[in-house]
Amino acid sequence: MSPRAAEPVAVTGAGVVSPIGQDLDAFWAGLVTGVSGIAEIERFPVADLRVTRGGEVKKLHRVAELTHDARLPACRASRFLIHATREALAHAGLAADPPEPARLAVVIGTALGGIDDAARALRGDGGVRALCGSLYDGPTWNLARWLDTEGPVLTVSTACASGATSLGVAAELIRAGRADVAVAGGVDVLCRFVQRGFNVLRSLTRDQVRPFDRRRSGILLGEGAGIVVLERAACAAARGRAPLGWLLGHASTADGAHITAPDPEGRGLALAIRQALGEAGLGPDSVEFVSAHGTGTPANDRVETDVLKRVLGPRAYAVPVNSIKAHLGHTMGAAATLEAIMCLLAGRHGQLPPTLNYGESDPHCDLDWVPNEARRHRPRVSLSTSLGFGGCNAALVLAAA
Amino acid sequence: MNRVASSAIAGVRAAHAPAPRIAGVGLLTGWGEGPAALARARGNTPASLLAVPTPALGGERFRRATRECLLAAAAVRAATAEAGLDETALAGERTGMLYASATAYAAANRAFLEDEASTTLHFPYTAPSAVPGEVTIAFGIRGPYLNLMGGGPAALQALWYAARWLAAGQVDRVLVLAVETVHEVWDLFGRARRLYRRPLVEGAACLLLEPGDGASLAWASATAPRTARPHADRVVGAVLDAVLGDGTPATVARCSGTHGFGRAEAAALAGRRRSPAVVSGPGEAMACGPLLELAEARSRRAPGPWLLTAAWRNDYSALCWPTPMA
Repeated sequence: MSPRAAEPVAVTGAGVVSPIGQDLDAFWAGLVTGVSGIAEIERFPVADLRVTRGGEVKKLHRVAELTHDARLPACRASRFLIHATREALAHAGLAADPPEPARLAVVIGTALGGIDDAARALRGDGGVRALCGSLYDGPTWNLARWLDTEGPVLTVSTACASGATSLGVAAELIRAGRADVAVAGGVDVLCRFVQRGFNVLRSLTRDQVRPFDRRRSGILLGEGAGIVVLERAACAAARGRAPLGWLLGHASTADGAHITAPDPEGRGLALAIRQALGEAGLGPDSVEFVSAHGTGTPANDRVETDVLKRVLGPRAYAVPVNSIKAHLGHTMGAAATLEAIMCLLAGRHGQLPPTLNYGESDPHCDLDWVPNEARRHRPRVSLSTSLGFGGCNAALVLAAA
Repeated sequence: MNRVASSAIAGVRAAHAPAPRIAGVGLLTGWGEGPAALARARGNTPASLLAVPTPALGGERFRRATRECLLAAAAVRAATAEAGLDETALAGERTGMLYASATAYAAANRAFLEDEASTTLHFPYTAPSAVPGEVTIAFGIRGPYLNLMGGGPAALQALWYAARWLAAGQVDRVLVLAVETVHEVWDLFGRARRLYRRPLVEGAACLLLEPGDGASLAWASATAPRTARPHADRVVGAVLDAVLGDGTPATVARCSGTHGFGRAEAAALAGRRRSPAVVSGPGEAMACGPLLELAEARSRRAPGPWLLTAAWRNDYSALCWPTPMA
C-alpha cells in the first residue's frame, strides 16, 4: 500500500434485507446457490404494466418483535433500514454495547427516499409526519431516531450508486474525526412509482435478467437494504473485534453525458475506479475480483466491460467479475451496499457467487463473468462499481480481513 | 468564557480543512437575483412563500429540463460568469460538483405520482440527481460528485467536502450548488409551517470555489433527540464549542432552522466573552441558506471569521469560515 493511501476503515458488521434473504447467512447461501428472488409482484397493482415481476421482499421477518418498539415507523424503507441495522450492530458486537451517541454517524444512500410516504401525503393521509417522511432524508432520520444517535446524520442520493457513495462518505467522516463508528448503507423499496417509471422507460425486460449475456434485454427491479458498521481501526481493535474486512478506497464521479444512459466511453466510471484505487494506495494489479453494476441492459454492460479492460489492462481477462442483479433484481439505492457486503463475504468464505442466467457470450462482453456456478476463490482485494441516473458513478475498493 | 460544556453532549468534534476561495457566486432566489437581494429582504414583512421565476434558458439541451434543473443551470452560469471564467473551463475531470437540496424533486415526484399518463420524458427527472446531472451534462463536468439531501446542514456538509477535495488536490475548482423549489407542493408544505421559519424561500445558489490561502474552516454537527430546550441547549453548546473553541466569530449567520435551536444558539452565544453580530436569514431558504449568507458576506467584504449555523429536523450544524471573505 502506498504511503499516500487514505486510512483504511474497518467493516466490523453487516446486515441485509433482500429478496433472497433477510440475514447475512440466508443472503450468502442464496447468492452462492443461485437463488433468484424475482417473482410476480404482489404488494401493489401491476396488471396494467408491461412487466409485472421484480425482486420483492414478500414478508419482512421478525417484524413482530420490532412492532413492540414505539419508535418503529410505518415507512417500509425505514423498517428495512432498522431491520438491517439490528443485524449489523449485533454482528459488530455493538448491540449490547452501543457506541457513544455523539460518536455514531448515520449515512444512508437512497434513490427513492420516502416515496411511499409521499403517496400517503398526497392522499392527505398521515399529516405532517407523512410529509416529513416523504422527503428523501425521511428514512435516514427514522433510523437515526431509532438509534438515538447524537452524531452526524447524512443522506446521499447519487441514484443507483447511492449505496456506494454513502459508504465513502461515512468513511470520510471517520477519517476526519467526526465519528468513531458509522452505520452506513443503502435502501430502496419496490413500489408502483418506480416500477411504472422504468416501465415507461422500457428498461424492464420480459425475459430473465442476463448480465453480460448476448441476449440481455434489460433490468428487473428489486428492493432491500444493506447496512455496514464502519469503525476506525483502532476502535475495533480496542474492542477486540476482528473486522469482516476493510474499506480502502472510494470515489464518486459525474459522467456529464446523459440523464439516463451511461457515457458511451465510460470516462466518469474509469475516473471513479482510478480515484478509488488511488485512495486505497493500490494499483490495478491488486484487484482480484470485481463486483460489477451489471444491470443487464445492453448499454451498461458494454460500457462496464470496456472500462474494466481499459483500467485493468490485459489482466482484465484474468480477473473474475460477477453481477448479482439476476439474484436480487436491481435494488437501486441498496444495490451497491449489498454488493460491497457480497465482496467481503466472498473474501471470508473463499467463494464467488455466480452471474446467473448466463448462456450466450457476447463478443463485446468477453471477460470472466463467473457464469451460473459459484467458484472457489478468495479475493483479498475487490473492486465494486456502480452507476446511476444523472450520470452518477461510484467505485469502492474493499479488502478481506 | 462561559462554555456550556457542563451540559453539552460529549464527543462532538469539528472537522477541519483549508478554506477555499469563493471565486464566483450565482444566486436566484424568491428575493431576487444576487447577494444584494438578500440584504434588501432583511427586515421586510415575511410572506408565506417566495417563489422564484423560472429562468429562460434556450437550446435543445434544456428542452425537457424541469424548473429546478433550469434554476440550477442558471445559477452555475451566473457563478461562472462572475468568476470571469469561460463556461468551457468547467468541462472535464478537474471540476467537482457538490449538490444539496431538501425539496428540489418534490414537484417532479408529485407530477409523476398523480399523472398516470406520464411519459418517458418525465420519470428520470423525479430523481434528485437529475438536477446536478443536467448541470454536469450542460457544462461537461466529469469530476468528483456528491449529492446531499437535507436543508441548511446539507449545504454546510457540502462546503466541507468541497474544502477537502480542493485541499487533497483532487480538483482545481468545485461547484457547490443548492436548489429549492416548493411552489408546486405548497399545499403540502404549507401544512407543516411550524417546522420552519417564514417565509419559505425558493432559490438556486451556486458558489464556485477554488483553493484558498491555507486558513482552516471548521465544521461540526450534532443531533438532538428533540429540538426543544434543554435538548437543543446541549447540542448547540457542544457544536459551538467544537467549531469555535475559545474563540468568538465576528459575525454569526443563522442560515436556517427551527425556533428551538435559535433560542439555544442565542443563549450559548450570549455566554461567550465577546458578543458577535448576529445576522438572521430573512426566511427559510433551506440548503440555499448557507450559500446565500456566504455570498452576501463576501459581497460586502465582511470581516471574519464567519460562523454559519443551520438546523434541519433534529440536526444542528455549524461551519466557521475564516477571513478573508473576498
